[in-house]
Amino acid sequence: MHYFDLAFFDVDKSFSKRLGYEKVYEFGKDVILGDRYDANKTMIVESSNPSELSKAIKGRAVGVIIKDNELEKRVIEDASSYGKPILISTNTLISDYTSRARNIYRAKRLLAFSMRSGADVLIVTMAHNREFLLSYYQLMSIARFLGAGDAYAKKMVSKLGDIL
Amino acid sequence: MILKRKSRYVLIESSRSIDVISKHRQMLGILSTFLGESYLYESNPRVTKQYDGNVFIMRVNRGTEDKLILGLSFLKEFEGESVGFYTIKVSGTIQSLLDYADEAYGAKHKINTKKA
Repeated sequence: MHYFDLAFFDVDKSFSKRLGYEKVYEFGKDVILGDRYDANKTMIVESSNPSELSKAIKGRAVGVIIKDNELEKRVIEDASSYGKPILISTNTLISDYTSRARNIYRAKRLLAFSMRSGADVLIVTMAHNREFLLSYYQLMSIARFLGAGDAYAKKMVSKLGDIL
Repeated sequence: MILKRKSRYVLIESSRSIDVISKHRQMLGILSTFLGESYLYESNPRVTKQYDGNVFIMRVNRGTEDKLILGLSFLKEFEGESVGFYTIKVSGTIQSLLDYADEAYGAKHKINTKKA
């Protein structure tokens, strides 16, 4: 099984191999991150606006990120019916000490509802620098910590390769 | 009857060079703030080997390695400086990690291998 990650900078190939990834995709090069859906671009939409996210899911966006991991049930149900994944970034879970507990709780709730709805959830680091990268062991460990089983955790780290 | 202690060895790389052998108490202290002190009693973590630079091997009791991996993911600051720890490989024998490290990091690390 091959594992993939997504970051904001170029990760050299030997380092990404050591971390256990087949490839670490880069924002701006492999995929665009935006808060408004644009039908002409291969993009991931990150927004707190449910209607913008639903529009992206029904359009050609490869995935969506619900800002602050809020539980937007309609968006999750749309993602499930259109087969589009929801991404959870570990950057928000591990970076800020003060809001960490709240972010972890929200991510757990989002993952639980998505698993029940049959929506795919991916876990990525979305690291801005080298310190915030994690190996695939660590991503799977965080996925299990959020409530995924072993098989689902593997799927969360490997499915990115199918959509990009 | 001799009870054999079953251990798991974790190969870890850090984003900057840290002498984890002399500073392993501080490191365990930071880990315990996230995982709890009881985790340390349960897992008995030890830095078994440190390579020259930023690669080292930690040993924990079998079944507790997942929590160590999780704890290291959340550890982003050490002695006031930003750092990242990456779990490269987990194994039941130290030899397989040494072989992997020699292959991944080159022979220069093998010369400077020291025991904790």
